[in-house]
Formats: sequence, C-alpha cells, structure tokens
Amino acid sequence: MSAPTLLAEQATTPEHPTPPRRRALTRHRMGNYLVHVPLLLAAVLFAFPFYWLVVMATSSTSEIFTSPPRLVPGTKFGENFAEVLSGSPFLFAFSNSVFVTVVGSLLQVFFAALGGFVFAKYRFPGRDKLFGLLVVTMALPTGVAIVPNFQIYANLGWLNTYWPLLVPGAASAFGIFWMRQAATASIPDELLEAARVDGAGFWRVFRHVGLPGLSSTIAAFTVFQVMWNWNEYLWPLLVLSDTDLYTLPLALQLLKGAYGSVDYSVVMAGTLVATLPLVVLFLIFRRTVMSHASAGAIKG
Amino acid sequence: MADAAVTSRTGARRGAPSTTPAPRRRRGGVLRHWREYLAIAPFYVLFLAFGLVPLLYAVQLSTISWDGLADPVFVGLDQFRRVLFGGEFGVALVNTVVIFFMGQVPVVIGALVAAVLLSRRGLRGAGVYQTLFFLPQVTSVVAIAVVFQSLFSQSYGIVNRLLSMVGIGPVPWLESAWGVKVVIALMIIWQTTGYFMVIFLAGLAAIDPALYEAATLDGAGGVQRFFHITLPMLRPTIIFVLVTGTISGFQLFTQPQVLLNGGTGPFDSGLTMMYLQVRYLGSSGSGTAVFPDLGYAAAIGWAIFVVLVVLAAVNAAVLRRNRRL
Repeated sequence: MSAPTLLAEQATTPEHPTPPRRRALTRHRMGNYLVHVPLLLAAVLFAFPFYWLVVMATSSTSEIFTSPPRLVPGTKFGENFAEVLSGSPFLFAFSNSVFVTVVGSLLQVFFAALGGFVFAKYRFPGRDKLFGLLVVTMALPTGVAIVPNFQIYANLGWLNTYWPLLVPGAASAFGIFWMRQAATASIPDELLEAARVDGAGFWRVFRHVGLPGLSSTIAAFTVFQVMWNWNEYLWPLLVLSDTDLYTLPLALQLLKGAYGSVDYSVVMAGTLVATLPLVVLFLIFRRTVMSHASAGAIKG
Repeated sequence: MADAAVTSRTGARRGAPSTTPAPRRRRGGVLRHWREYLAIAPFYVLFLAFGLVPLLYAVQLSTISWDGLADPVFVGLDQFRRVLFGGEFGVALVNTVVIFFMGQVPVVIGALVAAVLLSRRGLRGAGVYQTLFFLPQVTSVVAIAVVFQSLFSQSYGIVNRLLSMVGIGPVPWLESAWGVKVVIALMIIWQTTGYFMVIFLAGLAAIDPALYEAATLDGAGGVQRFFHITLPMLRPTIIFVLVTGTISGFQLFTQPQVLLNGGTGPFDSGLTMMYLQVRYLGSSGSGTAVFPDLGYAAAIGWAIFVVLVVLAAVNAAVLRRNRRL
C-alpha cells in the first residue's frame, strides 16, 4: 500500500538515460527477484502455524501422529467439532464473545467518534488543557492498576458479569485521539457551517457531518476494537468464573485443559472456529486496516 | 482552518458563526457549551473511576496483607521489602528481561528488514506478503499457544519430528528452562512482527525517493543507502517502536500464562513480572498454587511501574546521547 508511492519516480527515466542509472535500475530489477527468496521463506514460516492448525483440526489424533508426519488436511473436522460442542460450553462462549465484542466495540467507537469530533471541531473553554490531559493518560502503564481495579469491580458487585469488560474501556483516550486527528484532517469547517445554517443542532451535525466524514477511520477503528475485544484474555480470566459466561479465549483454555492430553485435534477444531471470524473480517477490511495501522499502532 | 470554531445551536440561530464569546460572557459560555462537555465527559469520568482512583487505592493496598477474604492486616512497608528481598520478583524481572531480548529485539529487526524489502519499487506480490505477515496479529494468544504447544511438544510435536529426520534428538522445548523461553519468544515474534512491519512501511513511505536517487548517482550501494538514508530518516518511527515495544514487552503476561497452562514452567522460567502479580491476585481463573496476597500483588504492581519509569528514562537518555542512531 505504501510501495506504489515510490513508482512515480521511475517515469522520469527515459528522458535522461544516463548509464550508471540504467545499470542501477537493471540491478534493482534483479534484486527484486532475489528478495523473494527471504520473503518466501518468511512467508512459509508465518503461514505454517495457520496451515498446521487446519491440518490438525481436520484430522484425527491417530492420523497426525504417523511417521513421517502427514502434512495435508484430513476429513475429520466434523467429528472433531462435534466433540468440541459436546465437551465444552463452546456455543455459549461463541455467542458470549459476539455479545461482548459487538456491545464493547459499539460503545468504544461511538464515544471515540463523538469525543474526537468535538475536540477537533468545537471550541470551548479548557478544551486544549482537557485534551492534553487525555494525551498524558495514554502514557500511564496500566499494569499497576490491576489489583485495585479488580478490588473495585469486586466492591461494585461486578465479578462474574460483563461490566468490567464493557464499561471501563468504553471511552478510550487512544480512540478519541485517533478520531480527533481524522476529523481535523478530513472534515472541512464549511460543511459544519452549512449544516448549522440549515438549522441542524449539535446532535444532527454529528450524525450528518461527523459520522460520514469519519467513516473510513470508524471502519478501521472498529476492526481494531473487534480484534482486541474478541481476543481479550486478562480481564475475562480474572473476573469470570462461571463457565457459562466464558468468552472464547477462556473456553479454548478450558477445552485445552480437558482435551489437551487426550485429543489435541478437538482443541484445534475449536481453535480454528474461534480464529476464523477474525481472519475473514481482516481479509475483507484488509486495505482499510493496513492503511490505518500506523495510526492504530499508537495503542502499543 | 482546523481551528475555526463552530458555535453551538443558540449561536447559530442568532447567525453569529465562528466567533468566540467575548470575555465578559465567559460564565455563560461554559454553560452554553454543555453539549460539548457532555460529549467528552465519559472519558474523564471513566478515567477518574478506573484509572486515577485505582492508583490511590493501590497505595493503600500495598501497605496491607490480605487474601481477599479475611480481615486485612496493616504491614507497613513489609510488602515492598518482600518484593525487594523475597527473591521471586528478581527471578521474574530477569525472566522478563531475557524474554524481552529473545523476542522483542528480533521482532524490531525482522520487521524493519521485511519493511525495507517490501517497499522496493516494483516488487510483485508485496500486498500478499504484507497481509500474510500481519495476519497473526488478528489471532488470539490462546489460539497461538494451542498451536505452538502442538508444534513444540516433545514426543509428537512436528518440530521435533522434523528435527529427528535430520538426526537431531528430541529437544525438550516445553520441559526445559531455556526451551520455554525460546517458545514464548517465538510466539511473540510470530504474532507481532507484522504489526511493527506495517508501522515501518508507513515510515518508509514518507522518505523522499529523491534522497535515494541522489545517493545512487553518487555510487552508494544498497547497504550504504540503508545506513545513511533509511535508518536516520526512520528515526521517529524507530523511537516509537522501541518505546511501545518496551512497554508491552515488560508487561508480558498472556503468552507464558497460556503456554504453561497456568503454571510457571521448569525452574519458573516462564514467570514474568505481570504474571507474578496476577498469581498473587489469586482470583478464580488464574489457577495458582500460591497463597493469594492482594497487598503483595499491589506492591509488585508498583515495582513494575518503577521498572517501566526507569526504562523510559534510560530510553530517553540513550536517544539523547545517540542522536544519529
């Protein structure tokens, strides 16, 4: 996505075909074939765990443990997954994960878009100081707050509920920061003025100017939040003890505990089904995510 | 342009666009902006409740000894003494540092190399490589641990079976102190390299191609161009990657916890600082064999905080001394 920007420079070549330059270009083209060697090697290494997941999830345990190892997918996925369903609260966990991910992401995206839009496009007393405070909070290490936060959730009666997964992170500094950047860069003030002249109030300006203007950033931020919510492990592990409330990562741990030493193919089948939705989501939104990933990186 | 203000509805009705309220109307101004304050309020309310209050609470917690059930006992600075001299925290700190160097350092170098290769002009399939390298980022650590446990299992793992074909005996990856660290580092490398690669790609795209052109005309080779143009121009990106990589690397928890099934591995070799803290929290899912002590866990939290502050200071000092990297 960034490579094509360098292409423009080649267009000037025919006008001044100086010899050193041509030699350099030829060398460059040869180099382009050569760099495929390390890249392909790395690609195989990066793809292999995914491939192995598919192979194991579709084979029976005895098929995998042959020597030499069988490296092609099998046909036993149905049996393995049936075992996943009967041996763990997998369907519960899947719907729990969908619920937590959808509600959590909606809240995070809404508050981020609203807050970012207001910081970027409205002027009010104390705005810059408040925003500075928000930026400072992003640098605070979160690790020190685990014990007190856990105790606060306990005092609120939030253990064994989804509140700790939904409420504390609903309005993230990172999300507001990101949306403010996007709104500053991509929503012209003229649009807001026009909406106001038409008599649109605060809320309607946000809905009809803010949300459409931020749509691509909202798409990218949503994918990131879905990713983080779907895979969140620490807090579900700490606050959820009722297995019916388990999200997918916890259910996989449970499955691993129960079948890990008996039938690893079953664990793999569950893992595959838990992983697939995000892989598909990512492939669909690949371009949006990759072009916004450097902004998303701020999360760290 | 970005700063041109938009007044709220009342202002708009009077047809007075883009003007800030006069100073004498300031009090009314604050009230007039209640919608704006309400829109940004959720963040500040939540930060107060779940970011600031916990910090104060953590101070109090670290002065008591408490299993979460019986009456807490005030112990003064004993918990901090236990952190400093109890031995456990030192082990966890060393483990964290070792895994950091085994995992995070190759991640940064690998991501940089991959980004430089992928940003070559006219490289075919660059998008496919990028997608493939980034894809592990969307998988959960639990899923990764499941797969890596299988890959590196001693008797049936595919890695050992492939190694045995070339005559290398079974390697006790998950049964030895160093093996556990290697597998954790490999999990980190596999999952996060693509993420940092994308950041480096964005940084590389911002470098003016004319710089490379000029250097090539002056006869600079690929290696020279890398060290004299790419690295210096990437400095802000590299700083960002180092800072975020350090913060996340030193708060490592999920990988060892999941890979070792809630245990700490042979000779506690997978016990990181965060993991130690969570173990003493003794909550439902952590499956620990230690006697929970919330006060001790809170003191460990402060120790991690101090380590991160020291690292930030060291980072800043090194970067200041080494302006040219």
